[in-house]
Amino acid sequence: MKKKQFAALTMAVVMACSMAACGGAETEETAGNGSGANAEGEEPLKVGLVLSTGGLGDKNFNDMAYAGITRAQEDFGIEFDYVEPSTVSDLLPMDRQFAEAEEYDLIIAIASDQEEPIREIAEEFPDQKISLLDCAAEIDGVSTVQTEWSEQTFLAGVIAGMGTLSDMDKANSDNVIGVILGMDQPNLREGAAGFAAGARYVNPDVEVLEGVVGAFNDPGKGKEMALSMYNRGADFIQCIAGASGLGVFGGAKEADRYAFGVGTNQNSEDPDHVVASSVRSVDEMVYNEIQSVLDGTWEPGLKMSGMKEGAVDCDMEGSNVVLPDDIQKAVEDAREKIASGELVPCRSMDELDAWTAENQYTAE
Amino acid sequence: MAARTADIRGILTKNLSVTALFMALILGGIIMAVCGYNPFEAYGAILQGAFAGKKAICQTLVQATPLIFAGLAYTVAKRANLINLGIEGQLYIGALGTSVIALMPLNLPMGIWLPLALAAGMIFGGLYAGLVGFMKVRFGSNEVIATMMLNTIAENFVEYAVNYPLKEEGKSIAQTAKFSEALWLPRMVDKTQLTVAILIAVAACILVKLLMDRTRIGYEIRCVGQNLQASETAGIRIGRVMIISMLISGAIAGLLGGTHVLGVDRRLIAGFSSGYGFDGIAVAALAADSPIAVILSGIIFGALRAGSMVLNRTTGIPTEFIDVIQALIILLVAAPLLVKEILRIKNKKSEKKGGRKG
Repeated sequence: MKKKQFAALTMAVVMACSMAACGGAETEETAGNGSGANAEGEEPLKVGLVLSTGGLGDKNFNDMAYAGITRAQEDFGIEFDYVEPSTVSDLLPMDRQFAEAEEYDLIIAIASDQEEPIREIAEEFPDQKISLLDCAAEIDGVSTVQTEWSEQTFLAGVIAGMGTLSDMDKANSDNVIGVILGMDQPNLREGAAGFAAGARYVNPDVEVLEGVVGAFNDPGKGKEMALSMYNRGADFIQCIAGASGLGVFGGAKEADRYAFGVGTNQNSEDPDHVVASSVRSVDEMVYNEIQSVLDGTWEPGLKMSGMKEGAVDCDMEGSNVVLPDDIQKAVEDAREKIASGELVPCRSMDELDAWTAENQYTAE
Repeated sequence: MAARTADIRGILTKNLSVTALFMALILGGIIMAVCGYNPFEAYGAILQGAFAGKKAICQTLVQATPLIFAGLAYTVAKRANLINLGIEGQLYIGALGTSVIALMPLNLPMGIWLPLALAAGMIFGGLYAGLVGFMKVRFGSNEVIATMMLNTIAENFVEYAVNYPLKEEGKSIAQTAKFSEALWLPRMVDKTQLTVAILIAVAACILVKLLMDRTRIGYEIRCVGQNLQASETAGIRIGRVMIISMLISGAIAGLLGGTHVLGVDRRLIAGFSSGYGFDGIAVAALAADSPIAVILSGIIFGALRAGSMVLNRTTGIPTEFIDVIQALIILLVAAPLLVKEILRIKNKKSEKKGGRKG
């Protein structure tokens, strides 16, 4: 019985292999059709995209990257292939797969998990153009793009700093706001500093509460933390906490106060309580890298991408909260100044006092 | 004509695993077609990614390695009629054990340090599973629930470990520093992730087979699995046997974790497993709980996974279809009556046709 089963399994493999013959032919044929349809004289640019673990459907990072590459496809007529790794261990073979195929003009890798695989691949394939997004590493021959976390949350800080003093209907009389982080990580701390700086820029005496959930996927704890901040007098909370941030929105609804989303535009999660989202446009970063290859301006090295490049912003679209004119004006003003380089948000809580002393908003 | 179909039917019903595999592939293809994808294109890409060339075959074996370990771990417990759903947690704890030894500045020669690290992983994983065996025997707790719950604890504990005590200095990623080179499992083929781990996996299967067939404890495990009351009457200490089979099962899971961190990632990273522990159930089901068939079954699933990478890149067909096929295999293996029924219906139809012709 056992032997028979073994023999039968072997047979299965053999038969499966024989299927390869017809299957393989099929693929080639369709591939031929695909390139034929696109042949308008010039070879279209071909881009390979290695997403981060978590995959498509995360309504954030990966979906944004995909949106960016599809937009590039519509605008420039590029071709692209993408893969969704199921674990970090798959990143290296997937990156390698694209490099070995030798048919991609550009490989785009997302997230700092890929730093090491990309380092290995870049060394082995020095002629392959590779862009590693949302990673602060410097790798020979690779274009790495890191966003300015402090610029991302600064404008939300401006809204919170002025809003807590204003007569907006869900604001209270205490001069207190809060920021909740998913994990105690350097990037997130920079985001918290940017938020606090934004608030202190317009309201030097505001107290900024800080909390760390300890996980990116614990909405329950995020909510408890938000409720305790609201109880201590906070009326605006910025979350930088992945899915734990959804709990912060729940807390905002329960306490009837305001919150800010992060990453992608999360305003629709609760348009009455989410004032705005501190967005980081991974799609814009993907799009820009592809465009730079088409322009011939692509070059390796570490680039910081911020408000000027359109990589980060404060997005109010989709929120029902109406901001008073003076706040809107202050936000516009700060946005322009950051984009022009006139205003550089503070990057660390330690330097905040010194920074506040030098940077103050004056309404015209 | 009718006789011939009956013959085929006989072969198929006897070899449920093969039948289930084929049915799952066909059903998976139908589901793809319904979703608007070309199943031939999909299977073509999978086979290309799994077997076309040296690199592809290596990738198949790389993917098969953890699956063989996981399938074997599940099989050992299953032989004693225990359902070990905690392989996922045990492999994380095993990886942690291996990493702790690997991160110690011992500077031993490779020949000692590497086996020591793997042994630590086996002990960690074994004890973690043994705990469940002990709780079942001593307090009558259900091993299915206990192992499941311990998965969450293990995953979160490892996440904590790589975020705080074991975290690499000055990095913002939750992972340990890279292990010393003396601890890297030797690669069998350059520029692939294929290491001697696959040989360890195959050796483990053979050892378990010998253990089951040739030793007293193996015999006792099989007895307990087949008939609890009779074993008790025969004087077998059931509790001891159950705990031992869980210890072995957990140790194999620990070895999975250990070989993965030393062979593939060469450091401990939070969430490194893509659910290997659970994939092991499908592997064991297809192998019909035979330790040797686990090797082949693991390679088949490994081929599907390796192929899915190429599938994903070249066709844009979602890799989730691989999970669908895997789930279908479990369903069909777990429901032999369903398979027999489907075969019977087919046979009836062909008999009718044959009758008319005659």
